[in-house]
Amino acid sequence: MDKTRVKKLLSENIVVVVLILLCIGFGIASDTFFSARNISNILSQMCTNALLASGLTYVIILGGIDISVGSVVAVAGIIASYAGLQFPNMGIPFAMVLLIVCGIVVGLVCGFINGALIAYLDVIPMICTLSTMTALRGVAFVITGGQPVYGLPTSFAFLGASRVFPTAGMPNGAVPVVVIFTVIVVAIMHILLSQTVFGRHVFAVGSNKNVAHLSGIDVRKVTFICHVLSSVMAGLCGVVIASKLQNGQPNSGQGYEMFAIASTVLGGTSLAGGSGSVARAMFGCAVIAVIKTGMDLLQIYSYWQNVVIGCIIILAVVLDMAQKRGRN
Amino acid sequence: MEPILQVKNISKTFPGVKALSDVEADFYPGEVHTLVGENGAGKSTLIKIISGVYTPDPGGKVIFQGKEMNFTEPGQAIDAGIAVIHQELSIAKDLTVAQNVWLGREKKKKNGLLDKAKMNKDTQDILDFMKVDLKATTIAGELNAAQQQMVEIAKVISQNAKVVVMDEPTSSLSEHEIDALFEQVRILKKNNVAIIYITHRLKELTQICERVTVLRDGCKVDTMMVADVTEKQIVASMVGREMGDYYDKHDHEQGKEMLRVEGLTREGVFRDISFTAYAGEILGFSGLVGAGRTEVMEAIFGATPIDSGKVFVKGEEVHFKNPKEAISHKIGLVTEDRRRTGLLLEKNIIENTSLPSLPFHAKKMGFVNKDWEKEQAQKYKDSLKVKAPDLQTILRTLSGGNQQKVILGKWLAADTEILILDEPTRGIDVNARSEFYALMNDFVEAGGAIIMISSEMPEVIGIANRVLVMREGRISGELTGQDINEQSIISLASITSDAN
Repeated sequence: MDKTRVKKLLSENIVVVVLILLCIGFGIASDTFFSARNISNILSQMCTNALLASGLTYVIILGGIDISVGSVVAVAGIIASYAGLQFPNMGIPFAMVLLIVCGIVVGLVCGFINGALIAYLDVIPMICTLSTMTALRGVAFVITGGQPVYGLPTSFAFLGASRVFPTAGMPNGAVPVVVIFTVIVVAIMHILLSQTVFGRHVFAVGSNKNVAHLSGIDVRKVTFICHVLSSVMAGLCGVVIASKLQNGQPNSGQGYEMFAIASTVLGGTSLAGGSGSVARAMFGCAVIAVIKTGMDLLQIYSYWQNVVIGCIIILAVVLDMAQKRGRN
Repeated sequence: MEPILQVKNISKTFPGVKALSDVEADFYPGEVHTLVGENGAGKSTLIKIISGVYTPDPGGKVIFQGKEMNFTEPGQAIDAGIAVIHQELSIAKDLTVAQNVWLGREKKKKNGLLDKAKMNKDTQDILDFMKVDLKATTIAGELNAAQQQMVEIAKVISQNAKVVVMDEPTSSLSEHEIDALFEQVRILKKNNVAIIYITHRLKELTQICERVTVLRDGCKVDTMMVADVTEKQIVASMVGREMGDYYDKHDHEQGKEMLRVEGLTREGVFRDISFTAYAGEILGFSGLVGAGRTEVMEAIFGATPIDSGKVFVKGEEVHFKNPKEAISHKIGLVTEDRRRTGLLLEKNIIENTSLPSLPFHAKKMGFVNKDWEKEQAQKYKDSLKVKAPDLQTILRTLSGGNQQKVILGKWLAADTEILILDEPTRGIDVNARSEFYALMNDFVEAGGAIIMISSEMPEVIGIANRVLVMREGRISGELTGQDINEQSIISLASITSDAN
C-alpha cells in the first residue's frame, strides 16, 4: 500500500487509532483496565451515550443540532417511573414493554415539538432546542415537584441494571441487558441511515437543501423525522437510566447532550452536515467512555473529566475544519 | 510601451497535477488582455498566482512595475494595486454600496470612528464618474447581478488598482447589461489600467480586447493580437485542432404535445405565459437575464407556487405542489447554477445519479437498491462519456462539463421525457459544449422534449428549433426557422420605451 492511501485510511479512521492508543495507555497505567469487569463496565456506561449519539448523528448530518436531548431524558424517565408505580406487581416482560413504550411516546411528543418548530416554522435548530431544553427541564421539575420518583418494583430495573449469560467469574451474568438493547437499537439506526432511501435523503438534505428539494425530496419532512428520531433516542435513553437507578430524577441527563455531540463529532460526523455514520459515532462513544472510566481508575478528580471532554470536542471540531480546508 | 505586469516561468504543481508549466505573459497598461482556454487549461490558477492566492513553484516570477513581487496572500496584491473581480461576486448583501466599496479599508475620523459621510461621498463620486445610476447608500442586496458588478468595479476604482483581473464577468449578464459593463471596461482602459480578462465567449474578444493568450493543459500556446486573428483560429489553438461549427442544429420532426402551459401568472414576476412544447424539438427560451424565464420554469416544475394558470402534461392537467410530483410525471430540471442547485458536490457519481429516482426503485421496506443505482450510474457515465476515474469519484473534483453530464445522467436515469435546461452550457468549455449539444439532440430524437433557457444568443440560434422570447415577465414573441436570428431576438427581448 502506498503512502497516500495509508494516510487517507488513517485520517478517515483517526477515531479508531485514538481509541486503541487510549486503551493501550490506560492499560499500562492501570492493571485493572483490561479486566472483564471493567470492560463490561465501560460497555454499559457507553450505552446511554450511544443511544443519544445515534439520534444526534441524524440531525448533525442535516447540518443541525439537538441540545434538548438531556431534558428529554429526564422527562421520559419520570413518565416511565410514574407509569411503573401504577403496576407494583408487574413482571419483567411487562416492565420492558412499559419502559420502551414510555420512552418512545415521550420522544415522539418532544420530537414533534422540535421537528415542527425547526422543519415547518424555520426556527434555527440551536435556538429551538436550547429553548425546548430549558422548557422540558422545567416540565420535569414541575411534574415531580423537584423530588425523585421512587418505590418502583425490581422488575422495573431489569432493562437498565441486570446482566444475563452468567460465567464462572461473573455469576450474576457477563452481558448487561442494556448492552443488548442498545446494540439492537443502534443497529436499526445504522441500517436506516446507511441502507435506506430515507437515509440517503438525510445525506442529500444535509449536503444541499436546494438540490434535494429540486430532486423531489421533501426537505421539511426529512428534517422533521430526523428531529423526531433524535428525541425518540433520547426518550429511550431516559427510560434506560430510570430503569438502571430504579427511580425517576428530574435532573437526570443534565449535560448529556455535550457527551453525545462529542461522540458524534469524534466519529467523523461533520458539524457542517452532509456526512457521517452511526457506526462511527459508536467509536466516538467508546473513546469518551474509555476516557471517563480510565480517569476513574486512575482516581482523577471528576471535575477534570469535564475539562478533558470539553477539550476533546474542540480538538475534534478543529480537526474536522482542518480536513475541510485541506480539501479546498 | 513597458508592460506593467509580467509573469515569467510560472509553474504550479498540486499533488498529482501540474496545473501550469513555464507560462509567461506581459500585460500592458490601457490594454485588455484576455486569457482563453478550455476548463482546466490553467487560467484560474494563473490569476490566482497573480493575485496572491497561490504562490508559484520556485523559479517563477511575478514582476509588477519593474519589481519582483512575492505575494503570500491576496491582501498584499490588493495593496500593491492588483484587484480581482471574481466570477462569483463578493458582495456583502446586507451592507450598502459604499460599505461594500470600502470593506476592509474603511475610512476613519481622527477619533477612530467611521467617517461614513466621506465614504458615501467618495463612493458617489466614483459612481458618478462611472456614469452609473446608483446611490452609495443603497443596500447591495437590492441590486441585480449587473448592478452588483458595477459596485465591484467601483471598489476596484477606489483601490486605484493598476491591474484588474475580471474572471468571466459576463457569464451571468444579459446582452444589454454586457454593453454597460464593456463601457466601464473602456473607461478603465482610458485610465491606463491593465485588464486581465477571462471569458468563454470568444465573440467578446473583438469587442473590447487587444491581446489574447491561449492556454492549453497548463501551457501557453500563443499570445496574439486580436486584430490579426479570427475566432476560428483561436478556437483551433485552444483545442489543438481545427473545429467545425460547434453548433449542430438538427431538423427534428415535431411530435406529439408533451407540455402545454396556459396563462401561467405569478404577480410581479411573470404574467400570462402560454406555450406548448412538443416531442422531438428543442424549444429555446431567450431574453434578458431577469426576464422571468427561470422563474417560469421553476413554477412549472412545482418548486415555486403560481397565482393562476394551467399546466398540462401530455394533455392531462396537473397541479404540481412540489418537484417530486413533476418528477413522477417525467419532468426534469437542470438548473442554471450547478454548484448551488444542481449537484451534491461532496457526494459521488452514484449518489448524484440516483438521487431523484431512488424512491421509485427502492426495494422492500425502503431499502436502497444498490445494484440498480450502480448499474444506472455506470450506464450513464459510459454513454455520456463522463471523464472520471470511477463511480466513487466526488463531484467536486470533476470539471464543469463532466459535472453537467452527471446532472443530465441523473435525469435520464429518472426516465425524464420533458427536460428543462437552464443555461446548460454556462462555464463549460468548447469541446464539452459540442458533446452536450449532441446529447441534447439524441434526447429529442428519442422522443423527448427539451426546453432550453439560454442567454447566449449564438447558442439559441445554433441549437433551438423554435424560440420563445421573454421580456419583463411576458412572452414577447415566437420565432421559427429562418426568423431565428440575432436581430429579431434582440428586438423582441429589448426593453424599449414603447414596450408594454
